[in-house]
Amino acid sequence: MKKIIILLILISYLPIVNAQSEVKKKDVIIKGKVQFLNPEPYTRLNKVYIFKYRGADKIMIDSTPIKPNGEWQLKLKNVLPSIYTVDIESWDRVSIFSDANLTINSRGYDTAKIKIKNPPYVFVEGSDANSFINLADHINYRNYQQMIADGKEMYYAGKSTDTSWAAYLKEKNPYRALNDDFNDRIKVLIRAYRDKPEVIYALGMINWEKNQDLIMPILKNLTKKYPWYTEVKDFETTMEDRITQAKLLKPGMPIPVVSYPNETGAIKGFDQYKGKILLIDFWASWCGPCRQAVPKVKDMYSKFGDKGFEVVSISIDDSKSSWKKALTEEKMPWQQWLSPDKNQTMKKFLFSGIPTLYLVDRNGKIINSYTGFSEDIEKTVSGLIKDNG
Amino acid sequence: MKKILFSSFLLLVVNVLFAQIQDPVNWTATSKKIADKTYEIHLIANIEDGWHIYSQTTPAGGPIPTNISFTKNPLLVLQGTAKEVGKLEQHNEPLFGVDVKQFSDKVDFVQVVKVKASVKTSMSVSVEFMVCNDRQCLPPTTKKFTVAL
Repeated sequence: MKKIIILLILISYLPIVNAQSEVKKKDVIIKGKVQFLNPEPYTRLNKVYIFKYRGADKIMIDSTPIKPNGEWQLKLKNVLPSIYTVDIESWDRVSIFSDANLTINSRGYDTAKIKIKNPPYVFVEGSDANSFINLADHINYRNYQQMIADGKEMYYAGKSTDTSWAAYLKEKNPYRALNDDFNDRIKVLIRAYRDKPEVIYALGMINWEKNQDLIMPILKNLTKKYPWYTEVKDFETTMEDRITQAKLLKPGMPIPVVSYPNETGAIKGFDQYKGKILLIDFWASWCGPCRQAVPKVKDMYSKFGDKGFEVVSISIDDSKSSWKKALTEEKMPWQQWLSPDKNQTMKKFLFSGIPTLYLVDRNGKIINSYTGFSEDIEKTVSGLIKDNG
Repeated sequence: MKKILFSSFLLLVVNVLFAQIQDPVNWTATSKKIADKTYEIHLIANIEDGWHIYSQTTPAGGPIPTNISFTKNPLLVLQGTAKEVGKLEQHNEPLFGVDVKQFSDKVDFVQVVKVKASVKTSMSVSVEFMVCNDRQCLPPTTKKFTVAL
């Protein structure tokens, strides 16, 4: 009886053991050897850096000079298993998983006479998780090599007198075929490793919008199984935010409700523009390309302003006085609002660069959005106004 | 000639591939001992093709200047301000009505510090900077580094 109870207790503990709720931090030694060092005057680049991507931020962890014989060694102190990037001499960039001591042998300096951006494949030795990254990187590498080959073929086919060659390639559409091939391979790899924490490396390689149904269940499972791996949780949160936001900002969706102050502090919103075609211009006083776009928007405004076209500029300036100064300089004959929090506004309207412009139809629905001024905007507006007689 | 043409075509493809990732500046932070108890801190910005970051001395009214701030450490004394080592591009920009001072490709911000005693310490530094190319700007962001001395 006792034995059975013990067995039962053991069985009930098994899932917890499986869940790996405890993973100890440890030191990871990464060593390697490069085949070629940078010659003079680039010897200052003969270094190895290790860094970590956190969202768009790249955090430098450590660096080391490479010995004259090409050998180097780095130590990650007291780390959990996670994905890092190793930059070797600025020539090789290798992703690793910090769950074991690793060896990275790489080419280094490109000795070819004409240097083109074609990094060689680097195989990392040390653990199963790194083998997974090796496989994912290899799919990526082969994809890029094939793209170069296809590009070359299309170039020569275009120059050839044999037109059937070019016609065949056009029909075949090598780039699309390559893209399908890449996605198919990566997805099978993801399926094979779906229960492993390192799989998030490959999840980042496929289009998040098209593959939500594949990505989300894997992330949910991983967060449960590896609660210590905060990056999985972060990935999940980012995905959730993107999915909600992208749904809200697709063409045909209503433009989000906002209330921003104008120059006098009066709170304004988009309601007043119902029945008009509206161009929303996100800009800032310190942004050259935004200010270069102002005359183009003014031009559209003078053409279509009396035909049901309106513009509103929303500044993401932190400094109210800089904003006001720019307003007196630019003299834009439409409403001017100021975002009280640029990060909130950028999240809400899903942009990272300005100018970003949203074109909204007469019913307050999004037609399209653009980062960087586009001549397309005028074409679209002109078309819509003509259609309406 | 064909080879050159072909390699520029490849570069173009690479640019398209990575266009979605908006991180055109790659920062590294290192320190170098130049004399007893004296170090140079190097914050190096490697800037992607077509993008610019702005000098600390960019006058008000234009792009927001790069701003470097060091966390106070009682063991350290800053010697002057951070020098900019790189190719400064300066032009009057009628859009702003001021001179724009920018760097492309690469710039090294160098700050000299003195350590008061012979101890191991580290310096925490944050850099606020904005980047633009000729189509768009990314608003000022802050990166933090810790450099061992």
